[in-house]
Amino acid sequence: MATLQVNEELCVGCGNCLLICPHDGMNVWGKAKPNEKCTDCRLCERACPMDAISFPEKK
Amino acid sequence: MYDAAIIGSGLGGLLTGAMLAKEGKSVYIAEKLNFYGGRCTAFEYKGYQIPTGAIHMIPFSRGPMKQVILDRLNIDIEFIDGGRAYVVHEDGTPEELTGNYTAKLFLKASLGDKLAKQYMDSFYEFALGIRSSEFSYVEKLNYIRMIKKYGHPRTPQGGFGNLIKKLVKFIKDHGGEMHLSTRAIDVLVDGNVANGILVYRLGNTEIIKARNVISNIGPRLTAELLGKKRYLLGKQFIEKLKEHKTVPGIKIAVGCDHQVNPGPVTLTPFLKRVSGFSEPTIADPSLAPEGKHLILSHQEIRSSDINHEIELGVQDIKSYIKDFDESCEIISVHSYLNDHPVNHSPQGNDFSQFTKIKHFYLVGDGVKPSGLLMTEGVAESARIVADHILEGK
Repeated sequence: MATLQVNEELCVGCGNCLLICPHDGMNVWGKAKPNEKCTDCRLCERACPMDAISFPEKK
Repeated sequence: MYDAAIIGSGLGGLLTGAMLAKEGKSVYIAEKLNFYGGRCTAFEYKGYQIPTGAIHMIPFSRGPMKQVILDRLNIDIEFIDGGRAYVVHEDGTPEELTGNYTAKLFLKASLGDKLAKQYMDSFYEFALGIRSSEFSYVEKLNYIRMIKKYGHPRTPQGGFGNLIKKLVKFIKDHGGEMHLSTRAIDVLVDGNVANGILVYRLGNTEIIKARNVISNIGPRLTAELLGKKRYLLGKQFIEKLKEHKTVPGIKIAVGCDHQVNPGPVTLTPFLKRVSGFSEPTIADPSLAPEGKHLILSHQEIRSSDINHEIELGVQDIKSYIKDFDESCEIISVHSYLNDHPVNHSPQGNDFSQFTKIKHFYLVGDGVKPSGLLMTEGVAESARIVADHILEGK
């Protein structure tokens, strides 16, 4: 299961994460939402202009 | 010591960097994200070149974009003529939007003709993201004059993704230094003279000394970057910022088995939300898988419920493309809000490229000169700043 988290207050739904994801692991419709194909590769984190994507450490 | 440090590699930052690098100036470009081009590039997605913002259309055939990229920088790229812009009447018949026809509509609208006003509104919404009530008569007049002066839209061959790739290569070939995933965290100012930036890169902070600093991140984020030093930008800048709003919008990318629109740009004054479409594959079929067309809608946002706004956009598209269910699929949906807007400033309400801080400039769609929309305004702002620096003022 992906640990990726989207801060919905910051996310504007621009779709950069969708376009850059090599795994087709993101859906964007108004807001970004990872799907089951997400591998936590973190590419989208650095493509997000709003800094809305984070990967909290697993406990 | 660099001649120029540029914050942000959107079209404005890249064009300024390229013009300076061409004249032998040393430039450093810091890009926060892991790709160049900001809202002016594209990614291949499901075989389509899906834009991050700019819809593969250069508004004018002979405007600043052509003058800067083709004439001045000599970048090896074709600006393809896919035909004129069209407007679709209520009964579904298309009409070519010639300069004269547009001017006639404009005149009728300013004399109070309701129908002409509806047409012009879809025009402004599509091109500028705002309605006619939201900007001045002078700005409208300037804009209509530019259309007559500079001609109809073009598509960069291979789309904006290809254009950005070529610009990046140009800057690197001319000795420019460019870094991805590099965040500007401060602007260095001595008295009221900018002399560099502080960047965060690969886990370290670095001081980048530079004779000129250029911000391509929009007026609001520029002020935020300056932090407590923002008052140095000048009273006018700070006052303007208080009432400043960026321009929001939604784009829906649709893939279709056949050509949908009469031309690469088509205005739709009779749809509820969608003000128009671009179909760049009419100019350059390589932007979609073979035999397919890429259609990009543009709509403004009229309520705070984005999902509802998107639904209304989808309804518009389905009513516009009669055989939508058989021939089309929605490829992606993109929203533009806040600090990731359609435009950092509404047309005609732009900030100046110059601030009270010496050797500190702004480029991009927050500082577009009057009458010049979208990429044309960005290119002209870049040219103004590059020329100012090159003249050694």
